[in-house]
Order: sequence, then C-alpha cells, then structure tokens
Amino acid sequence: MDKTIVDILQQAGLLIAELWLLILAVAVLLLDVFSKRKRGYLTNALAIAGIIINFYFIYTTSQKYPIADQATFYFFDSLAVYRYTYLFQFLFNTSALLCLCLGMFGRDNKNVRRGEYLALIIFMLLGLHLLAKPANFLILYLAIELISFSAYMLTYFNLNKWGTEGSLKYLLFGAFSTACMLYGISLLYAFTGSIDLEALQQIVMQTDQVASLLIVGLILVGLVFKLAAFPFQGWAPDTYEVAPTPFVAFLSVAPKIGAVFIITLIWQQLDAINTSSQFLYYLLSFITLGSILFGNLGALWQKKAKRLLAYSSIAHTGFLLLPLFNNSTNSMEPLLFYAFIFMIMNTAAFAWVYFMEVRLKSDKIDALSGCGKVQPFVSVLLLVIMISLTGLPITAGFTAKLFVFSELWQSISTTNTLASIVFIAGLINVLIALYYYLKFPYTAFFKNPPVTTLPFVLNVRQASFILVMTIPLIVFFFKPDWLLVLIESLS
Amino acid sequence: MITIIILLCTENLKSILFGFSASVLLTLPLAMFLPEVYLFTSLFLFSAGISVFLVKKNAIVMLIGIELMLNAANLNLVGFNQLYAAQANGQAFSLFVIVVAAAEAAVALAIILKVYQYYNTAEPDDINEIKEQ
Repeated sequence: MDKTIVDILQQAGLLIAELWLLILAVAVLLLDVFSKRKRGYLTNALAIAGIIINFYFIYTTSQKYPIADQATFYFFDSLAVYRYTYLFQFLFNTSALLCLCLGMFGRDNKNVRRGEYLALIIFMLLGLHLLAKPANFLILYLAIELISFSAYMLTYFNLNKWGTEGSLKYLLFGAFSTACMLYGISLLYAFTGSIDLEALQQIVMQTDQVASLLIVGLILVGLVFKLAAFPFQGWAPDTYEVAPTPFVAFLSVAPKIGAVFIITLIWQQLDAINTSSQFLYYLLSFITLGSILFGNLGALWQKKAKRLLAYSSIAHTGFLLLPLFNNSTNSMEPLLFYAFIFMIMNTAAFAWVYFMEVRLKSDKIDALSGCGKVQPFVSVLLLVIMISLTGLPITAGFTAKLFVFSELWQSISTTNTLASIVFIAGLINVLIALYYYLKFPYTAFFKNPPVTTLPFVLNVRQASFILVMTIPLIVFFFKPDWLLVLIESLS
Repeated sequence: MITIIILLCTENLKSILFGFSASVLLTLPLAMFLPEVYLFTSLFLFSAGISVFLVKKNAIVMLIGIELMLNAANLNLVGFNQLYAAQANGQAFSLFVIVVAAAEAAVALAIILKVYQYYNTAEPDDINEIKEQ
C-alpha cells in the first residue's frame, strides 16, 4: 500500500472521539426521522448516552497518544496533541452534556425539530474537539467555521421572529470577523510560505513590526469574536437573548474557553521570541479591561435575566484572559481552574433562567419576587450561585478569582507596570459586579410579588438539578486541590 | 493605507469598478511572478469587501462584501503558492475556503429568507425588535 495511506490509517486512532461524534450526529438525525411520534424522548436519550460514551473515547485516545510537555504532531503536522488537549476536550464534553441534560427539562414546547437541534449541538462539539488540537491554520479555520455555522443555526431554534433577527446579526458579525482572520492567515502564508502555527514566530522575527502586527491583529479578530470579548462583543446580548437557553449555557462557555485556548497557543508562539511583546501586552490589556468594564457597566441596567447574564459572561471573558499576563509556563493552571468553575456557575445561572422561562414564559428578574418566602432553600442556592459569579468567599468563584489575581500579582512584581493597572481595575470591577448579581437574590427575598400572581416555584427535578450544580461551587471552595488534582491528572 | 482605499472606494460605485478592472488588467498579462501585484490586488479586494460590508444596507449585499473579502484571501493563497511551489499548501487551503464559503452562503441565505418572511425586509438596520420585545 501507499505509504501515505498506511500513515493515515495508523494515526486514525487519534480522531476516534471526533469520528464517534460524527456517527452520533448522523444517528441522532436518522432516529429523529423514524421516531417522530415519541416527542423526541428517544433522540435525547441517544444523544446524552453518546456524549457520555465519548468521555470513554477521549480517555482511550489519551492513553494511546499520551501528552508530553512539548506538542506531538500527527497527520503530516496538521494535528497536534498539546499538553492540555484532552483536558479541554473533557471540558467541552462536560459542557455539552450539561446543555443536553438541561434541555430535558423544558421539552413541553421545544420538541419541534428536536433531532436537528441535537445533531447541530453535536456538530458544534465536534468542531470544539478539533479546536483543541490544531497544528496549522487550516484545521483552526475549519474548526472555527464548524462551530460558527452550527451556532448561527442553533440561535434560530426557538423558531420565532426574534430568533431570525439574532441569528442574522450573529451571522453577519461572525462571517465578517472570520473573513478578517482568513485574510490574516493568507498574508501569513504570503510572507512565510507556511500555514503552521509556528509560522507566527517566523513572521515576527523576519518581517517588520507593522506587517507582523497587522497579521497577528487580523488573526486575533476572528478569535476575539468567538470569545465575545471587548471590541467584538456586540452580538452577544442579542444572540443570547433569542437563542434557546440550554444552548446559550453551552455557547457562553465552550467556544469561549476554546478561543482562550487558541489565544494561549498563539501567545506561547509569540512569547518565545519576546520582540514585540510590549505591544502585545497593550493589546491584551485593551481586550481584557475593555471586556470587563463593558460587561459590568452594560449589566448594571438590565432588567432581563438572560441579557444580564450575557453581559456578565462578557465580563468573565476578561477575567479568563487575565492569566495570560504572566508569561511563565504554569499560567494555564489558574486559567483552567477558572474555566471549570465558570462552566459550572454559568450553566447553573442559565439553568435558573431556563426554568423561569419554561414556567413563566418570560425572563424578567422581577418575576423572581416572593420566591424566597415560598422556597427558602432553593433561593439560598440562587444566592450561592450569584455570589460565586461575583467572586466572594465560601464559593469556588472566589477561589478561581483568587488564583487568577495572585498569578497577576506575581507578574506585576516581575515584568510590567501595565499589569498593575489591570489588577486594580479588575478588583474594582468585582465590586461593581456585586451590585447586579445580588439583584437576583434581593428580588427573590425582599420584594413582594403583585397580589394577582403566584410566586415562581421550581419543581423537585428542577431544584435537584440546581442543587447538583451548586454543590461543586461550595465543595471546591473548601477543597480546591480536588479540582487541581483532576486538572493535573488530565494534563 | 487601507483607510485611504476605503475612502476612495466609498465615494461611488464607479471607482470600485474602475479599480477592479484596472487591477484585473494589471494581473492578466503577467508572464512572470510579481508578488506586489497579488498583494495589492488582494488588498484592494479586501478593502472593497470591507467597504461594501460597512456601507451597504441590504444583508445580501453585505454577504457579497464578505465574499469579496474571502476571495481576497484566496487570491493571496493561490498567488503566493508560486513562490513556495514545493508544496501546494496555499492552493489546498483556498479549495477549503471556497467550499466553506459556499456553505456559509447557504446558511446565510436560509436565515435571510426567514428574516424576510417575518419582517418583510432584509436590511439589518430596520430590524430592531429584540430590545423592545
């Protein structure tokens, strides 16, 4: 046989998780066609089971293609296994699983086109799996486009008028930014003749500053858009508001963390040379400070829970990027800790909003009023989630922010003054965030509902979902080393 | 320089057409490889794409602008492949871009069709109901 084919067959095991997801998506679509009368129950069960099985495939891949400190390359240098590849795949998979589980709760009016919805989420997960191991820009581009296209369509899946509007705006923004990114990649190819991620080093060393900054900047545009970070955050509130809420819980976490991973990869390439790093720090502090400030200030005036959480997730993006200021190699650990906690608390918050929507058909924060008197225990869980999103003690949100800020503190003492400005601004913003996050528990406990309406209550299943999501937030505050051990064992 | 070109382009459609045909005329008779020509033509296409995207109101025309931007990238990828002829990296990449762009157009047109059914217009500026919902 041809040597190329032999090579490909030998390395095909690396893609077993991705292949499984592809098969799963097709199976879900087929099952949906043949079991239309059963209200999508079977399809849902199949998708959830498939994603749980996918954990096993990630595990076997990690055994067969072990991680090393340096990246190992496969498929003619187009895919790579980085130190954190499997960890990120695990994160994405968990996020998708939570999203599908959450979707089980509101099936009453959302059973239309259940199969397509699930298949698109699985395709998005497939794109995210590829995003965890790109070695060149072609794979990166394809992964990002796969994620984006699925997301554009999923935004419309509430199947109403506003869904189309949010979807259209998301699509126009998204297509524009990926086109910018693609032009950056093509310029990179023009100057270096290579589409590998390593070509970034070459371009910064060989060409003059303006050209290399233009290229790096253009490539960052696409990624920052996926992040919904500062200059390209405009789509986030509108899109989050009209999209199906379980999907938003996925969209606001997984692609964001994936984009952060790619930015860290690019950062490692550029940091290795250290020539234009001063400018890059200016750019980074612009993005982080901008998104923290914009997210927090935008959230202050929101009346609707989903919109508020959209702005809050923009602010969290800034915090996710803070560890990048420290250019030592272990800066991934606080980032990963933050990513894990962010996933849990954000999903919990969106779950709460989703239950409100299912029951009340609205997501106004005022609808919570009186909830604390009827269901004190569940409302305390809401308080815990919101305190965790703010980043105050006895929740893991505090631990995560503590790690991030202590890492930043170290880089202040070693490198630059820019970090100190970011440090102080970040701390002030935690205080601003306190105001709008506490709106939820405040409304629940202290406001009286209008006499005509009954207060909002959760049923037992919904409350237990919230409880399961809240327990880790408290456990990881007292035992952060448990999560660190998990991170350590996967990387 | 991009801004200058954008300003030039936004003045009227005629200048876009003029510049476009001029750059095509420049590129066609080339027997030997001149990197600058590819670079400037693609830069021109890219800037024209951005200006179309920013200036035009209709969503479909905005998509045409995006298509121009993608093709600017393609031109770079294919053109500079001559310089690095040992591997066909750039040409392979551009094939992927073409296919992905077709998929993108399909998704976008489906969404625009839906928007048109609900709002009777395809101009994003006129569609602003999420906030008032």
